[in-house]
Amino acid sequence: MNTRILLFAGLRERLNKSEVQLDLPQGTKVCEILPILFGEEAAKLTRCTLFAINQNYVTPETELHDGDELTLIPPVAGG
Amino acid sequence: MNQIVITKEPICIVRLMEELSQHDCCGALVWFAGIVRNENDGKPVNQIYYECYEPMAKKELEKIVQEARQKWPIHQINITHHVGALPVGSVSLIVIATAPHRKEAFDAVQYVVDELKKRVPIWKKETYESGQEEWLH
Repeated sequence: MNTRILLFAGLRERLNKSEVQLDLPQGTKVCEILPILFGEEAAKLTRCTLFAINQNYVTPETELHDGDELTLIPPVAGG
Repeated sequence: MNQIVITKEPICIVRLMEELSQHDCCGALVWFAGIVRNENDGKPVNQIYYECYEPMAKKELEKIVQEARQKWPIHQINITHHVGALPVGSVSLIVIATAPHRKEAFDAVQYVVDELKKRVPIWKKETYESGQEEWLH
């Protein structure tokens, strides 16, 4: 299952990438992505990261589907 | 009518006012400007860098505007947000609402700004006088 993951702000800087493609097993949940990308740091990041699939906010328990675009959203601060 | 703009260009309040569609039913025009402040948490700030996931930010702003329109009889809403680096004193955000009466225009602008800060995927990184940089939470 092919998933495109978009990274912004502090998360983009941590990986030094704005986008990652992952081949994931069927049924992978959104919340499982942070440990894959950030290892031990994931526990800390989970508390303050929101998720969007195809530009709509979703809960961490949402399952990904083939072709989804997942955006990892660190704390926003517009204005 | 809604106008939602994400821009790298300097924001000119006067030009935004001129572009508003006039309507005789509107007795109120309220605007809010966000300005880059020279300190945060006691640390002197030199500039703020704004980053945005533009397609989602525009969708989320459209949702916020629709919510505001369900709550108040707004004629026009204009939201303009800057992306990129801005020095202290620069305009980062303008929200304008026109309505028949002032209360609904004030309330709508307040609602849009509050929700924007909670949900719209825009991030800011401050650069301090010390040279340190920090993404705001």
